[in-house]
Amino acid sequence: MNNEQLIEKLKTIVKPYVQNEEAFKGIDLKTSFLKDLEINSAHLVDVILDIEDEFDIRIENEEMEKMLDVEASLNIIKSKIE
Amino acid sequence: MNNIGTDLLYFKSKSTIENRKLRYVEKVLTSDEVKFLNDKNLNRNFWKLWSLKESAYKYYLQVSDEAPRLNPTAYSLINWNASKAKMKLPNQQVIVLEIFEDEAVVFTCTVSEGFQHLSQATFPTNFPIQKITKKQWDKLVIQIKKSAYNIPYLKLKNKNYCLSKTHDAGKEVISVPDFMLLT
Repeated sequence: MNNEQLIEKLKTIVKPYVQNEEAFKGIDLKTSFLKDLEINSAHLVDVILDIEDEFDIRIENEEMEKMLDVEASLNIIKSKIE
Repeated sequence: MNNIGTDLLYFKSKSTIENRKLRYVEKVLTSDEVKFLNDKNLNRNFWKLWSLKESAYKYYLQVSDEAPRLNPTAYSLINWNASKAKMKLPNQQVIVLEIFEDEAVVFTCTVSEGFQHLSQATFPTNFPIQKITKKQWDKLVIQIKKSAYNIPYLKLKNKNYCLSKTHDAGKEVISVPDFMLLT
């Protein structure tokens, strides 16, 4: 699965929690979940759980703490599914 | 520089723990913290604990200058009662937080002597939140800046001051040093 495909899957996961639609339309590797998409931190935990389910992976707490933007999240997902 | 972390949370704005995935709790609470949830007030206690963690997190980002991380289990509750809680931060520092609540809403803050809590909304009379006018609010908001880590602060006469912002259910509270005069 390439970056574009992963980003599309990630977009589907985060969409229900996004509060800044403009930032969501322009989502890229540097997009921050908290600062740009304005996902609140309680929902960010939901995002992590949805990622676990979608990719059938387990994300440890030490990995979760880094998943604050698209790039960091993709790196962790890729390390689990490759 | 004095530091402060606050959090406002309306219980009805949060979905119940039962409706979330079971793994949600283990991503957020330590195994020791689970004992603070009792069946009778499971959701209320969970979200109150979440609110305390949010306040502690905001405080810690100010004192540590570390980059933000999603690590709620690194902020652990030691004990609590109806009005106060003691929590351990990621650097092992122990802090005390205050809890103000009624049936609908909880406001938590790190011990905040030297700060005033301001809002345009009306809160229960036991909450330490002062209602201000839209004009005062707008004047305050315009002075708020954000650090590279997206942490809000005030810059007054070339000196930086910590503040805390929190919002939920369309209501917002800003906590600023109490020397700030609102005219």
